[in-house]
This record gives sequence, structure tokens and C-alpha cells, in this order.
Amino acid sequence: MSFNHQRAQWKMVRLIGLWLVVAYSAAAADKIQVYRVPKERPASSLPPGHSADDGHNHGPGDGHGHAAGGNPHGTPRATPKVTYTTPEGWREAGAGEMRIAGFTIAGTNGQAAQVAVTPLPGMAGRENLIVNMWRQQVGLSELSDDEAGKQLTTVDIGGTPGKMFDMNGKSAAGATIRIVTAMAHLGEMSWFYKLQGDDELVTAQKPNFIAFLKTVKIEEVAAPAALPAGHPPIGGGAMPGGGMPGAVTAATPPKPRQGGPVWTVPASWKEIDGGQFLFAKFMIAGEGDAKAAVNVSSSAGDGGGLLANINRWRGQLGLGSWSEAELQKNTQEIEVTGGKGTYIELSGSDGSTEKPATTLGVKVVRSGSTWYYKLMGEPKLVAAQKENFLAFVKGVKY
Amino acid sequence: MLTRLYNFFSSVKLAVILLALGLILVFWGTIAQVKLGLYLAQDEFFRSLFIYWKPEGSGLKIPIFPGGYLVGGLLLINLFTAHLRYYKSGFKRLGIAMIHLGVVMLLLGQFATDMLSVESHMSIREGESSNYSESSSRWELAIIDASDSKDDKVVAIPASLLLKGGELTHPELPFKLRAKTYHINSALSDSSEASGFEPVPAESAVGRQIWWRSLPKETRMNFRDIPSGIVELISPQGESRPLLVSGYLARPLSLTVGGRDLQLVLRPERYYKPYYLHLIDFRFDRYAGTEKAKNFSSRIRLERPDTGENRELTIRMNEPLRYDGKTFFQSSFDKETELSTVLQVVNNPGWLTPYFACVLVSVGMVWQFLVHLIGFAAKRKTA
Repeated sequence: MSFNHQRAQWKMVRLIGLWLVVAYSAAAADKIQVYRVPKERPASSLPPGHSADDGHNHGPGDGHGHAAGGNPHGTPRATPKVTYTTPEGWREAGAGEMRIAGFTIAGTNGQAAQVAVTPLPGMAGRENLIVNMWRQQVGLSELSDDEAGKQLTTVDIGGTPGKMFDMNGKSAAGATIRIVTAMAHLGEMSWFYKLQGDDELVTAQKPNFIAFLKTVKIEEVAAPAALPAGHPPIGGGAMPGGGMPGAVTAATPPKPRQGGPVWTVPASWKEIDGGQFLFAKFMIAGEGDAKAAVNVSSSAGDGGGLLANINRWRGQLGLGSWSEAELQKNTQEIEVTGGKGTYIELSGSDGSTEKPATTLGVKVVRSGSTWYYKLMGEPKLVAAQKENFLAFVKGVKY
Repeated sequence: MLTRLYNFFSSVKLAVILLALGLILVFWGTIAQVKLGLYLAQDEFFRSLFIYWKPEGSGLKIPIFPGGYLVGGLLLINLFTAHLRYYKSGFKRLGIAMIHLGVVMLLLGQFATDMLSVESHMSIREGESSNYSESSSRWELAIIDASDSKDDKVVAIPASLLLKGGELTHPELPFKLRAKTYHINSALSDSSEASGFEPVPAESAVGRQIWWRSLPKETRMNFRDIPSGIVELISPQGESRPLLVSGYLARPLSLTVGGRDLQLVLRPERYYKPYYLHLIDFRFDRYAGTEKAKNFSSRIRLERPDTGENRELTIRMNEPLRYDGKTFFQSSFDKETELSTVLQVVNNPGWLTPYFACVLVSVGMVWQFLVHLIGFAAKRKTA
């Protein structure tokens, strides 16, 4: 072997080494990036001849409709505003984390139905998936894409042609239920309107539902680029209790509420904004820095079930989860307006302050919705407020 | 040993085998796109060392065929080693060297494209400006400190780290973050009755339970995955708070931690630029009396605060804007209102290498042909 060939061999070895290093670094993990960016510009910089209310439909998340199905690229963060005319007999149930509006409908014989208006991105073209998802929910078998497509009929949603399907079947509990779902795509966002509940009631309410769909108008309200000092945080992400443990957020005044139950608030309670997730929130100040809060939430159906909610509350107090049997042993029935509620008391330490804390909770089921009332705070203050809390819950008129 | 390895890597036999494997790989990878879609097929067949067989339910990954990086890498080593072993300098063989160099440039150029190129989309509505584009396939968990009146400080955690799980820390974060669960594609529901959905064990759904289900990775070209996950924020005192993050939740989660107002959002990965594109007008021109597309164009004003640049330009279907090393193509628009444009932003530092490579190979082939032709003609003349 000549000297030149030996050198060539070592060059080859170095080349293989280099290739392995490059291949390894190519496969190396992504890294956390930190950067500063100017705050987003306000949407008001419209050119001459245009204005925010120029008559065009600035739908939620528009601007991302991609070929054949609307592949969403980019997500301008803005708050969609929905206006509609509420049919007679429908009661506002407020917004949820996903739904932007909700209603409950009570029948004459104790039947119940719910309506939810939910925007979801990236669902255009997945209508068949949606049809099959709801079919499974009512115990029906999945359909092929062609068959599922045949279930869809055209419906007018605020002047935009939408699709609607109607099906009935059995719920997991064995009750006969009916689901009527309408959907329309605006830009990257798909809007779902779902009427669900007792078969007879939903059938009777379907004309109201179709009339309601015609009245729906969606417009986007651009979020401000920067909040002025002292402005309350925007949006559904606001976490009651101040976000992270140990954090403090300023109390903000409540937004005016439409519909819902009627109650008498004790004088020492101060209502504040509960954010998107709570129907209402009240703060109670005690002696020194003692504080307590009352949260009122409502959800369609069973709201995740009593056990899951109580175990979540137990987690907030640093307590372990209960079994169903333990739950039954530790809850008691109380009289509330028009029926019964489930009452519980829990004691532990508040995860955010590491100080002792007590939680009193009541679950009430009305018109297909479940209401949770929770008083949580410093033990002495909670004990002093127990009577007020129970009187408040018992006096609520739904 | 080294000599045997040297002979193996420089052999023509290896070159032929690798080219044959490359042919099979290209054919197989192209057919696989029908089932896997373009991006997944690219990752599994071409951007990998091996193609794996994953028996369902076993969690095993068994390599069954060399992937693009292995075939390409070995081909590169084969070319270099053969060159070292066989090449003799001289103008008669210059063409061969140029052809080989051209092929090497093609291989390296493609590798550089794979590593360095970024494709994203910029969506702008008429009358609005944007200084960032977003990825179509990559997601990030952005933790935004908006307390400064002028700038936002962003800590962006790639979704690939959430998928790996475990604890994540960064000096800019006032908490540790534990990635507990991450679904690459998902569906959310606010009803317990939806089939296949499970309650989300996260506290973020305060006062309201959310249900979710994992969905298979989207392979259709016109759709994309929408991920959801649970991240646990752990304070310095060790207290934890599990939060639901999801591409479905359009608005960021607001937190106040240690006096800092933070926002937390799972969003498509963003690529910020030091300039703004302001959409003056989007036009969808049709042939008169028909709905047939004639032209799509976006009238844009480019504003660059750091240099004072401020000019108007038009991006059309076959007339992209080339600026700042990036190419902005007219890609799509809002079909409902025709008031928004979608620009595809391609940043590919290696985009010129295929052109240079092809020129080099062509010149090399012409050179080699002429050398033989002249030699042949000279022989005939002397005969």
C-alpha cells in the first residue's frame, strides 16, 4: 500500500466521521428559543377608503381559507362577537371554554335540551367525521364517507349556506335523545350549532332552532394590541385564584349577565368577574388578611360528574382522591328551591398559600344543567359564612 | 481492515447498489405518499437513516430498508473515496471531476435544504400588517411576558419537547414546566357524552370540565394536526398546577406569576421578521363573464422600521417577492370574503445549489464528449 493510498484512507475515515457528526446534529433535539418582538399592531391601520365597519364580513379567523378544505395557517387572535335572537323558551346558559354561547330549554314534562354555539378551527372538510362522532354518541354505527355525506342537508345560518344533520338514538344512560347539528365555515373557523336533548323536545324545538340559525350574525372584534395600565386581563384564559400559586391578580368588576338564575347575594359578598369559566364569582373579606371566594359554575349534562369535581376540589386542598363509596359516605342531601342538592365539606391546605383552608360545595341539577357552588377560603371565615352560603344556594331560583 | 473498508467504499459495485436502492426508495416513497401524505412520507422515507416497520401495538421499530440519509450519505462517501482512489489529474479527465462535483453538490444541496429550509405561511387581512409567518406543521408552546409597554418577551418551547415529556426549565421562566401529556392531533369536547372522549385531568378548565380524545396523525394535504396537551407549572416552592393547552383554544391563558403578567398559548411555530408586510389590496381577477381564475395578486406595502424602507410592491402567482433571503409566493386567500391573502414564505439558503450542480454536470459532460470527439477526430486524421 502506497503512502498516497494511506492518506486517502484516513481522508475517507475523516469523511465518515464528519458525516456521522452532521447526521447526529441534524437529529439533535429542538431548543427553547427566547426572543423579543414588538407588540402586535392594532387592526385599525386601515387604508383610506376602508373602515372597520365597511360592510364587509370580517369573519372570525378569516384569511386562512386554503385550497379545498381551508387549511388554517396563522391564527389572528381576536374575539368573535356573535349576535342572535333568542327564541322564546330558551334560557341563556352562558359561554364555556369552547362554546361561545349556550342555552337550556325545558320541556313541559320535565324534558330538557341544550343548545351550544361552538367555533373550532380546522374542521372544514371534516363534516363526515363530525356526523360519525355524533352517531357514535347516540349508539349508531359509523357510516362511510359517502353515506355520511348524504345525511347533510342545507340550512341558512345568518345568510350563509350551512350544513345540518339530524339523528336520534340512545344516550349512554339509555334515554332516547336527538341531536340536530348545523355547521358553517367562515375562513379558518368552523361554527357548530348543536341542539341536543330529549327526542320529543328537540323535535318540537327544531323549527325554533332553524329560525335561530337565520338570526345568527358573527363579527370579529379585534383584540387591542396593548392593554392600558390597570386594564383587566382579556379573555377566557384568565385563571380564577390568581393563576400560579402565590400569585395575586387584581379583582375586576363583573360583566353584566344575561339570563340565568335569580339569587340574593349576602351583603358582605362582593361580586367580581369570574372569567369565561365561571357563571359568577364573589369575594369575601374577613378579619386581617383572611379571604374566601364563592365560585358558581354551570355546565350542560352532569358537568363531568360529582366525583371528578369533588376530587378536583380535594386536589386543590392537597387531599387525595376519593372513591365513589367514600364520596357517598361524606356527602349529604340538602333542600334547595324546587328540589334537592348535594352538600359537602372539605378541609386541607390551600395549594396557593399553604395555609389551612376549607371548602364547602353544593351540586344542584336543574333543566339538564348542573350547577356547582363552591365556597373556599380561610377556615374561620368559611365557618362564619357557612350560613350565608347555604342560604344563598338554597334561595337560588332557576 | 482499513484497506478493505477503503476498497469497499470506493467500489463501483457499491455505487451501483446504492443507485439501485435510491431508485427503489424514490419509487416506494412516492407510492407511500398516497397513504401517508407528502410530509410524513418525506420524513419516514427520505429524511431518515432507515425505513422502519412498526408492528401494531408492540411499540417496536424494526429497520427494514435504508432511508434517504443513509443512501445519500453512503453515495457521497463512495464518490469522494472513488475520486481519491481512481482520479488522475489532467485536462482529459476534468469533465469526470466536474460531473462528480456536480453530483456531490446536488447531494449536499439537498441535505442543506432539508436542514436549513423553512416553509411557512403569512396571513394578512386588507388594511392590516404582519411581521411573522407561521409553520403549517410545527407547533410551539409560547409563554409571553407582555409586561413591557413596547415589546413582548417570548419563550417558545417547540412541541417536540412537549412530546418527549419530562421537566423543562429556562432562566427566563419563573417556574418549571413539566410536559405531562401531548396529543399530536386531538379533538376537544365540552360534553361527556361524546364517544371516545375522556375527561381532561387538568385544572385549567376551572369550573367546567373539558373532554378530549387523541386522533391519528393527519395525512391529507389540505388538513393539519391540531394538538392538545397538559403542562404542569411548578412553582419554586414545588406547588404544581396542571393546565390544558390546545390548538383549539384560540385565546391565550393569562397568568400572573411573581408579579409578571404572562400568557401561555399553544400555537403554530412563528417566524418573526424585522419588517412588516401591509396588505393594501387583494385581487382575484377572473376572465370576463366567467368564474375562471385569471390572476391572484396582493398589493403590499413593505415597511422596515430599522432601515426606514417603505415601498409598495405586488406579489402575483408567478411573480414572488424575493427579500431578505426569503421568497414570498402568492399561495391562497380567504375564499369567503376575498379580503385576505395567504403568502407562502420559503427560506431556503441552498436554493441555488441545484442550478450550479446541473450546470457543472452539463459542462462536465460536454467537456468529456468534446475530449473524446477531438481525440477520435485526430486519430482518424492521422490514420
